[in-house]
Amino acid sequence: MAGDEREERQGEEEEEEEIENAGYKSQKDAVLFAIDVSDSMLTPPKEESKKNKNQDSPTVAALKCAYQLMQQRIISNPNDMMGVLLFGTEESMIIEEGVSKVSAAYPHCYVVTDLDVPAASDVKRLRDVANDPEESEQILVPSTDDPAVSMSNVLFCANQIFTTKAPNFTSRRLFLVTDEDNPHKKDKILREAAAVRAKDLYDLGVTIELFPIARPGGDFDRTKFYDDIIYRGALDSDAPAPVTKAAKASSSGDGISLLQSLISSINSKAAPRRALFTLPMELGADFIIGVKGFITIKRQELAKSCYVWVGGEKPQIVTGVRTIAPKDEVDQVPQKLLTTETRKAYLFGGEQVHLSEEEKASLRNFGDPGIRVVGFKPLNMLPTWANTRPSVFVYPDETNYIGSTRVFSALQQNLLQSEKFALVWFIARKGAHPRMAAMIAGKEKIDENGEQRMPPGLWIITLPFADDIRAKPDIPLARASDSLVEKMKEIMGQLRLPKSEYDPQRYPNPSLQYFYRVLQSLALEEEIPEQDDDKTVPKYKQIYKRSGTLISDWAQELEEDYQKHEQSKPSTTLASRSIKRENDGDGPPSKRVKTETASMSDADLRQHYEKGTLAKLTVPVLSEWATKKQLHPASKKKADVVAAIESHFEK
Amino acid sequence: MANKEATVFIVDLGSSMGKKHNGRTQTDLEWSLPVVWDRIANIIHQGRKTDQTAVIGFRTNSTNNVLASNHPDTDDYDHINVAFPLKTILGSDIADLREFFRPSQIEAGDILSAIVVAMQMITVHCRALKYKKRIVLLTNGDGAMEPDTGNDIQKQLVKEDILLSILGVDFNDFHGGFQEENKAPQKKLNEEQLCNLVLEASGTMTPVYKAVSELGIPSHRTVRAVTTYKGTLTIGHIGKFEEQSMKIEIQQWPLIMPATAQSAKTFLVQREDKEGEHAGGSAESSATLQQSAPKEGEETLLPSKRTYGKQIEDPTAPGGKIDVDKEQLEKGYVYGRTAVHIGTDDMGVVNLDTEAGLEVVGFVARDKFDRYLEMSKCSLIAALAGNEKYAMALSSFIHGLIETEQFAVARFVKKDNTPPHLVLLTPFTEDGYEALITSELPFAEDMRSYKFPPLDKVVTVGGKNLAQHRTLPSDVLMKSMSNYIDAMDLSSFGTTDTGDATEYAKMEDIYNPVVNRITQVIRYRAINPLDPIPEPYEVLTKYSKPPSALLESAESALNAVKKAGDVKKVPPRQFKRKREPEKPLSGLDIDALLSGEKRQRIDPANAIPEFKQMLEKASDVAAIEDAAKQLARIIETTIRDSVGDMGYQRAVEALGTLREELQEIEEPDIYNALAQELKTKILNGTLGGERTEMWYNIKIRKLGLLDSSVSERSKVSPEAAKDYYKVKPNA
Repeated sequence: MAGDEREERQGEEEEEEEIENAGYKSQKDAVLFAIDVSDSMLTPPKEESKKNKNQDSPTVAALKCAYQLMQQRIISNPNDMMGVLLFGTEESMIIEEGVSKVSAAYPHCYVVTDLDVPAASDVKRLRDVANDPEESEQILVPSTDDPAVSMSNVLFCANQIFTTKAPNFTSRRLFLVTDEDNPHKKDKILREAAAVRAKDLYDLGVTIELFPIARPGGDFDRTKFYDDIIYRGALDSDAPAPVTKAAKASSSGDGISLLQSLISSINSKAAPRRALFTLPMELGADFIIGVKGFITIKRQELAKSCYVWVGGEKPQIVTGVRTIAPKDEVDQVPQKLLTTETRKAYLFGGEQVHLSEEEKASLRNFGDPGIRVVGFKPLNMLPTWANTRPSVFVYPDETNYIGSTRVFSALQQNLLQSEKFALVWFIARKGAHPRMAAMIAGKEKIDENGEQRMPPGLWIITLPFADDIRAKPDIPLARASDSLVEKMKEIMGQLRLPKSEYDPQRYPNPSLQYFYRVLQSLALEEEIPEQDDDKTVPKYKQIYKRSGTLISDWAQELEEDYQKHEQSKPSTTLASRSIKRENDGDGPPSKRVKTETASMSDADLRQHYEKGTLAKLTVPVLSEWATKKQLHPASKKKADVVAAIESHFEK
Repeated sequence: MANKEATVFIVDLGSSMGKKHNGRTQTDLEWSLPVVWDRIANIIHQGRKTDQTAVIGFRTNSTNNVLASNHPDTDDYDHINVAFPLKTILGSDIADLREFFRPSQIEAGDILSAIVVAMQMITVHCRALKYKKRIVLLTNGDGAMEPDTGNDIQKQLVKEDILLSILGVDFNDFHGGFQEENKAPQKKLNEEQLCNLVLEASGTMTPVYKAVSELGIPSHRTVRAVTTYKGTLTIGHIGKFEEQSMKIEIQQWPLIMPATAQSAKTFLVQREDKEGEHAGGSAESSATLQQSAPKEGEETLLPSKRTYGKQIEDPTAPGGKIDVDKEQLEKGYVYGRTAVHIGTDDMGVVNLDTEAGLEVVGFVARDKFDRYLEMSKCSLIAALAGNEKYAMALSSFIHGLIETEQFAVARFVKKDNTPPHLVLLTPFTEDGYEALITSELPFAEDMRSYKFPPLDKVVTVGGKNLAQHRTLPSDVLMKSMSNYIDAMDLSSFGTTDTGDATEYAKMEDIYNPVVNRITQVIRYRAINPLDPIPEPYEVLTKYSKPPSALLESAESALNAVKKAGDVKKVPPRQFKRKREPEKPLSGLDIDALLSGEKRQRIDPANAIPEFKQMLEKASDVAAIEDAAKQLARIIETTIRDSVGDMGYQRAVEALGTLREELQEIEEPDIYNALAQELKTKILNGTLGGERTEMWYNIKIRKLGLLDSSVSERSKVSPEAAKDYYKVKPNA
């Protein structure tokens, strides 16, 4: 009954999965790098500025790029595939069943790593070829044939790799890196053969992304050869992306290396653009335009731990198989009566409540998927706390409604101008829960290099429902004096982030990066790396220099104000001036005594440990410390907590 | 820990409750009882063991209460019937209650005595313990009432701190609103007396019509605030520069916590076997179940649990997988497709060393912050409980943010050695309440840099900026959109209780439709197992569309923007018998080149492209059929030669292509015939033995027949297409 189980799993699928009707295909992406190896590709650019010594040759830069992308994709797309193919090499090498072998099937094509979900060995192999001259010496030898390699062969080699290794993928992309804009200039037959093989790739659903490299003093002319090879928006019809400009080394002597410019153009293609939804947007009765939604902000989580089987030569990943069994002791029930048939029921006060399939389906049915504008409000009616999850980016789509783009544009520009948002009723797809959302306009943002940093469009911010808003707790209140606020303002004025804005690109996730670096080193059986420079840690020295004095002024003022405040109080009343909210009594204030004694520094506790007086401390103090250190005592009993802390110090 | 609650429901079951009044089609009891059921269902649904509930009827035929038994000398407590004393009420009590709530044949029985019985129950049960105590009384106010006990009851209620809520059928609304005409004198007297009682004992009085109209408004019990972080908010390094650093001790609570819908549990179906043997012990107390279970004969649903078997791949084993022993497992992670085992004790090696804290990284201008970057539910931060100095310090921080029009960005580590997050700190003030709001911000890895063309200009390939283009709005469209946005303004479209203009559709007025719908239906079905499920409450769909009054006033603005926008719906896709082959950017005619090459037989290695190209060249149905058959044979070979499931995805891709292409060129029946053939071959084992997994793939990827609903020329009905997926034994 494996099938039934799987169907069930599909049914339980989380609502927010990124699926736009993939039909019969698997929602996966495969990227195959095809990197040209030739004399010119192996020549490092001349130094134009002193800043960049030891520039990489284009081939090596491309390999480094591929290496970096491979590491990145292990983090961001753990189920997607990647492979690296060199062409124009002296040697011809393919990989069959995991083993490299010389083969004449595709002359001058050299498969460095096979198209697959990368294994640690692939990462190592690619790193060695990219970074270790000794390793690459053998491989990076240009063919001496004329022509060096037949492009039709290269394309068919890629075709076969995609056909066999990544069957039924929704996205298959060939990243082609070359500086040769006219590989078969003398041979029309070879040129036509390449065009035919390119059409095969197109019909197979493979997109060719060309990353051209301009040779020193020259340009890369696509019309000579590549316009016969490349098709317009085969799969990515969502929106036309700008054509990749040819990367140049140190073009203007500004120190941007070829590697950097390649990385930036490859990064923009790193993830295939998948729409979350294609929906009608109802602006008013009988006034509908088409839009597509994209997940452009999504928390990249650490991989979950799993079980690894270590009973054999090679550790293996263990997969769980779910089976369903009676909750109570099985022997109460005669085995023969058990079926694998299951049915769902709701529990209500211990009783089962049943609904028919149609009734069940009707519960979630609040109309067809779509975005419907209910009305407009000024942005100041959208408080910062009204947030539940990452926003979804929305962009117009002309497929079903011609004229959508201009109307969408008018809406977006007007919302920006008037500082308003649209309140919308939003059903992302069939069966999805309806949500209320604020649809706000976002401006296009361009970085210093003229690259788009934020796309122009609308953003859907899912609002909390009344059911989701918690009552606010009772809290102590004491209004700061104006002069104290003034002092704080001075501090704040000194500590602005660059350009007074938050740019996510400046902050890599430190734990994510460290996690994968450690994992990589463990997988490659190398030493565990040091912790990286963590960009999220405040710049303490700078803060001290800029605002240290201001902060001590503020602290002094606070102390004085507080003393005055205490003295001004009638001596009989208790201190707390907490405001009562819709909350019931016994809120935090009563815990005051407990919390104040509960802060125990590491050093103090260590002293107690060394003196053997841990047991003299109170349970709350011990427990809090244990929780802070993530110790897990066997129970909440004092003896267990003390034992846990002792064993912590023993380490 | 939740507060303990004791609630006694008193329901008037006198014969007049079984009669219809004031032109209603329902009896008083039928009309008003849903209000009581709603409250009872709410308690059952919350399922808290600390909630104690009792139900009393009065003006009942029989008498059953402690006071009556203890005082046989008086008839004061006659016709008061206790359904059950204070206890945790369960779903299994519903059936009994349904029987209990039936009008009697008599009018005798005293309201105030019933209240006394309820008070007695509460006092005995709760003793001096801390309880939230409540009596809910439903009555139509007919019947006799002892006038002089009211005063004692009032004193007792106050003393015991019991809240008395009265639900009165056709009681006058003393907040204005409903007033009953020609009220019977007895009822008038009773109403007045009950009213006084409630006023003096700080209880509540709600006319039933009002309670009924509020039935659809979801009630949610206040969740006690749970601290999620207790620590410091700092600027600078306290350890290094103690004097020059700011430290405020704070606490954090969740402010937004999305409610989730109740999910159905999975049960194992157990049928009685033929010999009539009964399964032991598991089917008790299923009164409601039996009535509402799907009518499929004798079956029981057993609670189930999931068990997780552990397997690894082993190509030599049947099915390609073998079970493994727990002893041979270690904890680890997957890096790409490599398993990295670490061992349970060393799992921490992958974690970054961090110290708990909320540290300010810097400040950003409010108007330069992109609101869409907030990516989590929000929390609330205030100074450490009871500490006014920290409260004062935080207050200066909050007002500093407000006055400089800035937000703060801070690094947040909740507990030592947990991953850091960057959070946005924004000020929150309301009626003297001051706090900070936190929301998580994205890291570089969380941003996907998809690029989209600008919306306010068109840049040509040559780099020219166009100001006018069909994708750009005209001035007229811009202006009319602006007018429409103004016309549909909600900022003052709502009205307050006192009739003032206010914001329409406030967040606190909008309820989660699905969550509350599911709750509504579960409760309804539990209480009325035989009735069809009701319509959704109106409040759940109220905000799904613009208010009609607003629509009316905005009509001309809408028409103007519609006209200026001139959006045209694309007619449904027309399938073409013959289509133009796609050309590369250069426009080179590849087809011509291909014709030079002889591609008559599809090369299995390049099957999909060559199949598509054959179709492009095909000039008659025979050629199409030939190509399709060739591909079908290749699919069969792929399946036959597949080691385990290795070739299945290739077969699925080819079959999917076949289906898609034949649909596109409107030859559904060629596909249907081949699909039937394939099904037979897979299931009868002629494609290399056991291929159920392949069949499963066809089912799950929906590669069945092209029926007449998706392809006009198809001779297969949608029903027949459904049948395709069924496997008949011996077929």
